[in-house]
Amino acid sequence: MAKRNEGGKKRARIDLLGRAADLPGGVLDAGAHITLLSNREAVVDGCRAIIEYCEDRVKLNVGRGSVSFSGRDLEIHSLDEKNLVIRGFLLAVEFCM
Amino acid sequence: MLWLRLYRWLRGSVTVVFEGAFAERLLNLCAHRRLSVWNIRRAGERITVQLPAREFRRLHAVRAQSGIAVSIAAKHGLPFFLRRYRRRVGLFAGFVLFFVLLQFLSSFVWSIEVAGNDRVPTEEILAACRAVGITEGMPVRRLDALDQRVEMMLQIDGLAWAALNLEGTRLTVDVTEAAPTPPPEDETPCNLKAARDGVVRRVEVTAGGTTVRVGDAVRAGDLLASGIVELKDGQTELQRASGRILAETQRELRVEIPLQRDETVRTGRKTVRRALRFFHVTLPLYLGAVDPPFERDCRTTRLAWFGARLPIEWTTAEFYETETRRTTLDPGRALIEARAQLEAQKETLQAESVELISETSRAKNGVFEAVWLLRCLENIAIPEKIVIHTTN
Repeated sequence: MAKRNEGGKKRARIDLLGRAADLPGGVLDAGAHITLLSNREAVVDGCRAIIEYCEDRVKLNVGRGSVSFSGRDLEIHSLDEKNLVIRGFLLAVEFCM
Repeated sequence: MLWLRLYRWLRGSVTVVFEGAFAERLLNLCAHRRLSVWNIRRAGERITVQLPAREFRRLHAVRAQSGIAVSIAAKHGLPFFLRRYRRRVGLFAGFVLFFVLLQFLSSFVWSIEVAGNDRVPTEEILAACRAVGITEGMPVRRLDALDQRVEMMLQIDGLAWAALNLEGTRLTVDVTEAAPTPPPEDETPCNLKAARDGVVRRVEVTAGGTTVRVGDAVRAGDLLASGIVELKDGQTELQRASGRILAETQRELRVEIPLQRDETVRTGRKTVRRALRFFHVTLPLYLGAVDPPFERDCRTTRLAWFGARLPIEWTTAEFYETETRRTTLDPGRALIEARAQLEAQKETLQAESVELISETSRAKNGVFEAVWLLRCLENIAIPEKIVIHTTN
C-alpha cells in the first residue's frame, strides 16, 4: 500500500514538472506515443504487448492501461521491441486506464 | 520503402504461419526477443508473419516457450533464388558473359548520326568524318572529340561550328552551317544588248539609257540600253545598265527520233541475292555469281532499335536478266514520243509566255523528225561589258 502511494506521488511530481515546462501530459513518464495518419495507419511507440489481435480489433498494452483500435481489415504492418504499425480502415480508438 | 523492400529481398525472408490459440503471445515473444517481423495478418486461428530468413532459427526457441505450431509458408529473396539455381553453372556463366559482352560492346561507336545540317549533305559530313578516322565500329577510346572535330570542319566548306557528342554508343555530329554570303555585286559598266531577233513589247530598264521603244523590231546584237549616260550638266557617266526588255520572238524546237533502235528489255527471269552487313563486314547469304547482262534493283535496310540506328544492314539485290531487242517504231508512236520530248524542251524555255504556231513532222531515212515553231514573250536583254581603251 505504501509502495503504491509512493508510485502515485512520483507520477504526480512528474506531471507537475511537465505542466511547469508546458509539456503535454504523458511525455515525461513512460506513456505510449500514438500517431494517427488519417484513419488508415496508426504508429504506436511504447507498446508493451499485444493483448488481442483479429481482423477488426487490435488491443495493445501500453503500460498505464491499454488501447484498442477497431476497424476493418486491420493488419500489423511491422512489429519490433516497442514499436508497432497498424494499417487498415480504423473506425475507433479506445483507451482503458 | 522501395529500398527497404530491396534490402529485405537481398537478405531473404520467410513467411511463417502461427497456428493455435493465443497466437498473439508468440508475437509478443518475438518482439521481446527483438525479432523483427512485418506484414502480420490474421485469418481465423492463423497469423501469418514475415521475418528475415536468418532469424528463423531464433523463432524455434520462442516457439518452444509458447507451444504454438509454426510452419513456413513461403520463402522469398535472393538467397533462396541462388540456392535454387546453384547447380546450374551455365546460367551463372551466361549471366557473367552477358555483362562482359555488354561492357565490351559498349566500348565501340555503334552508329553515327548528323544533326543540324540543311544545305551541307549528310553524306558529305559522314565522308569528312571517315577521312579524319571517325567510323562506325571504332573504339570509343580512339575518339578525340576536340581535335577530330576541328579536322573535320577543315574538310567541309560551309560549316561554322561542329561538335562530336557521344551518348553511350551513339555518336552525334552536331553542326551549324555558316550563313551563305551573297556573291559580290558586279559594278562593271555594261550595255544591254539583244540576245535574239524580236519585236519589243515591254521595256523595264532600271539603270542606263534606253535606246529602244515598244514596237521596235530589233536584231540579235542590237543595243537595247546604253551604259554610257549623259548627265544634266553635260558630263557622261559609265553605268551598269540593267533591266528587262521583253520582246516577241520566234523559236524553233526540233527533235529527231530513229525509227529503228535497240532496246534492253527484261526477260522475266529474276535472281535475288541477300547480304548482311555488320559494321564493315559484309556477309553474303548466297553462293555463286549472277551472269550478265542484268539490271539490278538494290534495297538496303538499316536496322533500328527504339529509334537508334544499329550498324546492321540488310541488303536485298534483285537481278533481272535482260536482252537486247531491235524494235521498229511506227510514225504514230514516234510522234507521241517526239511531242513528249518537245514539251520537255519547251518547259526549259525561260519565257513569260509560249504559244505554238505550227507543228511539222516527217519520216526520212529511218529517222522521224518533228519541228515546233513557237511564239515567245521573253527577256532578250543580256549584259555586255563596255570595253574602255585608255592610251597614255
